[in-house]
Amino acid sequence: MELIKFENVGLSFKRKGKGQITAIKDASFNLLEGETLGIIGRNGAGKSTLLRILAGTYLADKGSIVRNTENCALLTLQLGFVPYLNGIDNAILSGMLQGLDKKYIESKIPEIIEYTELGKMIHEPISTWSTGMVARLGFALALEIKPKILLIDESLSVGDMAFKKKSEAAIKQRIKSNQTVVLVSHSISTIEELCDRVVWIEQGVTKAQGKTDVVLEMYNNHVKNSMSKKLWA
Amino acid sequence: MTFKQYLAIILFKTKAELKAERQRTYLGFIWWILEPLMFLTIFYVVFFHIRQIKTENFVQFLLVGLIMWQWFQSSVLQSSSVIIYQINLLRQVKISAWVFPIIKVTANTVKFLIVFTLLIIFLWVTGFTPNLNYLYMLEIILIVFLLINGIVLCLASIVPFVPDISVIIQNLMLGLFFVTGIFFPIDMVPEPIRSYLSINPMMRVIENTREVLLHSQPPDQGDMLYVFSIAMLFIFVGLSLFKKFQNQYAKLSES
Repeated sequence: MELIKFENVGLSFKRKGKGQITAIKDASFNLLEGETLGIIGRNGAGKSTLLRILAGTYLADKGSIVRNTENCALLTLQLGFVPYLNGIDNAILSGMLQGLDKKYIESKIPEIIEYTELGKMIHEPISTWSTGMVARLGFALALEIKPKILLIDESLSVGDMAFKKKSEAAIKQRIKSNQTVVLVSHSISTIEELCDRVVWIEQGVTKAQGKTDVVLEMYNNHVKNSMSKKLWA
Repeated sequence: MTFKQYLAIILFKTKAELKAERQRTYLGFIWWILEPLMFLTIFYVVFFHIRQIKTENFVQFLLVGLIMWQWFQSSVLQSSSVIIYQINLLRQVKISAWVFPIIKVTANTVKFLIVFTLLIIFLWVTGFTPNLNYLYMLEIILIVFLLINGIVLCLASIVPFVPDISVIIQNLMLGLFFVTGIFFPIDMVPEPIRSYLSINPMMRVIENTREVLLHSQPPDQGDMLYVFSIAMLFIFVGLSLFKKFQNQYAKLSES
């Protein structure tokens, strides 16, 4: 079943005194239920912008978007965290901002403490924590957000080495399950490993959509060609 | 998100904000009381001893005006530019932007209520015994709360697009402070200036608060209706502006 369909979608930003910057010129693709769709492209191609249009936080100003579900959210890390608050308050606050029920988050706190191995530190303001500890809490919380469509931008792993493995594994497990996922990355190996289908975007235009190996080959050829062009120019 | 969820966010975030504020400074929440006291001292010296404005019970008179004004001013100043700091968040989750200024207002209102309680105690100690008319304060406080929210919603919705407005607001607030009748009784002002000055809803609020607390009189219901109508108008306009611009905040560049 088709969950979302983009047709000739465009979006531009107004900048003070600089006119408009068109980030997405012409994007057309669809998202099917249960699949993992990769979005690939070079820096500044419009990948993250596209993801935010999917999330509904950016409103497209051109084209049409058909949605069969509104239940679509970005995987966010440390959203709305406040340095002077302790881990529990931050977890509740961040969860509520992402649409979770306060009671639900409270019931999950013991689980989160165990998962993040934070122990008594959870009662201390997060400004006294290490970066890795904050990252762990952010990640544990992100796992609690369970939208119908999960949108992931780039980073699959957070924290120190040990937790990196743990977090990466958790996300991969989530992606490989029945969850519908849109994954943005410029790492070809990540896309190759996880995605059923891929959309390739170049300077705000979707160049191709299809099976992972087919689109990746096109993308690779394109990158190689443009690099050799640059070399000989 | 449902309205109930927004309400839960407002309440929790208000609590969190106050907690964070308490932890940021050594004296913590004592500042909430110390600040208006420092304010009072300065104005007492300037207007009572230097300008020689003589009104009966000048300290009480000044204190009532200052505390109401402080609530209004700090809410407006702190809330109107709050959206800019939430742009990154608005890019990541679908959430109505109006909650952020409202949170600042409720946090300031909690602080006000603490200071206000102390004011009542101070008045009591200095001979103004609480009486049944004091219950009218509930009406006044509720209406002022609505008024502040309305003004803040209108300002906060447009400041992200025209940040210069916040500079104007700062100066406007300073000007407003001098014409709101905080350190002089309104009947000291000759007509027609007096009529012009009472267009300002905060002027009427402060006058009526004094009537209740210092003269044990009920507030003028005509005044109350006037302030309430302005509050509702501002709330309506503010929420409409937020609805109109909701999708544009995320696209702004971060500060």
